[in-house]
Amino acid sequence: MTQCIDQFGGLVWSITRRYVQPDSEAEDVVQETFAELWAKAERFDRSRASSSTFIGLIARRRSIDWLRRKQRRPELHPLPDDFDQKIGAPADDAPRIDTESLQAALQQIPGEIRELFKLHFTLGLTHPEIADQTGLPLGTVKTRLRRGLIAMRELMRSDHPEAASS
Amino acid sequence: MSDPKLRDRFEELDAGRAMDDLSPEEHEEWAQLVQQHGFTPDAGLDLLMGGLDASLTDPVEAPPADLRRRLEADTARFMPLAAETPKPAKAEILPFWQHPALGWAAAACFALVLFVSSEGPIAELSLDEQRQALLTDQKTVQLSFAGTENFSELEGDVVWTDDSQTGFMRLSGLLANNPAEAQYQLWIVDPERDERPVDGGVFDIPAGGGDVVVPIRAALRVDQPVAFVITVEQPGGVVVSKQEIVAAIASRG
Repeated sequence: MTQCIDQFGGLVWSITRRYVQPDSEAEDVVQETFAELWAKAERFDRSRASSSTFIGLIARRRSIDWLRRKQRRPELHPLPDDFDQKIGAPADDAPRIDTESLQAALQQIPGEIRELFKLHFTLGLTHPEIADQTGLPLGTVKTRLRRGLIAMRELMRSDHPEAASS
Repeated sequence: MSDPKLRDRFEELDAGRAMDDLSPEEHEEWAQLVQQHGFTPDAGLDLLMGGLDASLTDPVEAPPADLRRRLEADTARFMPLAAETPKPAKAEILPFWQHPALGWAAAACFALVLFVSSEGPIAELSLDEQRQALLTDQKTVQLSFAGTENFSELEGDVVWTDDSQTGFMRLSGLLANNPAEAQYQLWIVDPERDERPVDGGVFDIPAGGGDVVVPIRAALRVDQPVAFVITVEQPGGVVVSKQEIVAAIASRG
């Protein structure tokens, strides 16, 4: 576990700080993220994702939960009870999501969408901030990011023959 | 087969859900498509978002030293149970990290193990009946709760036995909470074990008053608890409480 903290502590910290400020709050969220990682360790399936993808998922979710509480955003309709299990389910029709496959898919999507991904994930800009910086209407930013995500999924499936045929 | 236009619309909204950028109106539309048209949210989109977060985060900075120490200290909460828990039966589902029993140890920390006493399962009894049964055990500790300043109406007690790691709180006069805004959390103080209290579980108090019996869900084994503390925390509870709002304390002596 210490080795895991060595290897991924910086990643969780960096992802969390993009969403959560001040740092004192981000520290609490990081602590909650690792607690959830230990608790959900058994659900992790290496055939579906790399460790960093699984960790990124948990870090992102914890951060978004914090944002929702902070911004007093309304409760969402709950996801199906087995939603989490599907994430960890054995891969029968889904591509493995790791850095290599993600980078390969990123190279295949239109450059304008790739840039939006970088503004969001690397620079940590919110969608309104991206709209300000690019001059695009907010609705266009959201639509392009959503369609970009769907395109990424389809590209990764097409590189995964079992998925393409399902 | 579903309408292709509806399917496309659902996919776009589901991507928005995974990105957490749906407006309230869009979320309602997403929910209707799930409930009325049977569309299924794709967990793979969430995994993809996690992967993008992990792959595109740059630079990756080391966490502060103090946080690092806290993370290491937290691992002690999950490791001790590892030797006591079985290995996973499904060989194809590999554990997340190197320790083969970690996942199960962690799962055990959160599992509901309250309803097994030395005599066997007693889950068919009501919580109050289980509490009464526990009181017949001579080894059971019973302590009275005292509410703090803003919770002075609170009355109740806690019963706990080390042998079966089972316990219940009986509470009245504790303010009903809105689980979407805040939840109560119990902490068990066992200085022999750790200077930090053990998480005893998150719980809600429904509106309507009257006695409420709450089972204790100790995340770790506690053998000599000297106090039980109820705090008010964020929904879902916290790993470490800042104890900013303490509702009640029950302590020995």
